[in-house]
Amino acid sequence: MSLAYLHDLPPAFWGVATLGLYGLARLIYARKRRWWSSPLLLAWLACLALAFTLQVSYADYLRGTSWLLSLLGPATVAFALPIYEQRQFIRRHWPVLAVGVMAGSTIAIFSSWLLAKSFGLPPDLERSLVPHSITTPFAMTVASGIGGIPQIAAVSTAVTGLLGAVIGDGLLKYLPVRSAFARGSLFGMGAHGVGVAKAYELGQEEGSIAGLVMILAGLANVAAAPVIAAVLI
Amino acid sequence: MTAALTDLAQIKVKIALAVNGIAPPKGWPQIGLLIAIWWGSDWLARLTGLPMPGSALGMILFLLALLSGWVNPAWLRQGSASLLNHMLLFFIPAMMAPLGHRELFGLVGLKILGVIVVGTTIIMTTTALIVELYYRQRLKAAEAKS
Repeated sequence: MSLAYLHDLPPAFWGVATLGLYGLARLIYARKRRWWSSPLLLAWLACLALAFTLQVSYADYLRGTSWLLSLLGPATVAFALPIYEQRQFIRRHWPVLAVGVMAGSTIAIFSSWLLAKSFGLPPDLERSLVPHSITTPFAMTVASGIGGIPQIAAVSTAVTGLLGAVIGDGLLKYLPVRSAFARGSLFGMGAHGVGVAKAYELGQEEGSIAGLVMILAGLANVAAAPVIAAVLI
Repeated sequence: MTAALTDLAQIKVKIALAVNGIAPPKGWPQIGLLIAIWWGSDWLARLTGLPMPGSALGMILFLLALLSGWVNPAWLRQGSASLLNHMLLFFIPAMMAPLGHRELFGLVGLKILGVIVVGTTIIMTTTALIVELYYRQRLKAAEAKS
């Protein structure tokens, strides 16, 4: 059966479908709180499955959904509020947070770049993978700033979050780390948004440290993007 | 009887979770205000040619406004929470990249997966160990002082 007639779907269909599948994924996650039921994974796979079934091109899909993408801008602005609310904590513990963010970011940038290079990935993909550990809106900004593909960065960043939550859980069984700072930094630096949710399962302190490390690492990477671009030539 | 009661309590929690899970965002006027901040800072970033996207500049300006006391955090708390809570919806369109990059389903995709798994293991291990060592050192230094 040919689905060619479906190519005439109005762009708004994809906006509504994405919203609907996202709502459904949130509903499933509210009932089954497991990593595989993360709305990030479910909504993404459902949207991909629908898009491939109806054979829509990426350009046509984006025509109906780019307004959602532009809401990442104000959402990034909103990150200021959690930072503001934890200003006392930051003032007291800034050296530890700074060490985590600086060391973590440097290691993240160089390890991804060296790994991508040694796996023989093409240069534009190498650059898209460099920011895979920071939160998605910042990762897309950094990727486009250093000559990568923001969309590939979005995919690899999301996969990093999903797998990172599982990897981090496993690592904590073997690593000799006890402080909430180290455990929180591990998830905030390595698995951004999904990791922060995971860190909150360990405790309130771990969670808020992970959240702060995630936002601060994102900002540090955006600020350092011109330097990264210059170093990685 | 008690079993039935706990069942009922569990069902209530489940319903509450389900409702929260799909609750539509609240604080629309506040979201509008955040969009306005982003627009303004995007324009400012382009005007001044700062090597920084408008969204990051907007976040810094918003933070400065909060710290200086010009902006009451209560004015924007609900809108910010709504946007952050639903952020993953906003990057789903970007994550649909495989529609335009079929090569991700082949060897290239596997290699990317390899970079992610090995990279994340390295990043997590080293970050956690460095932070732990530094934290212990600081604790020891603080004890020595007192």
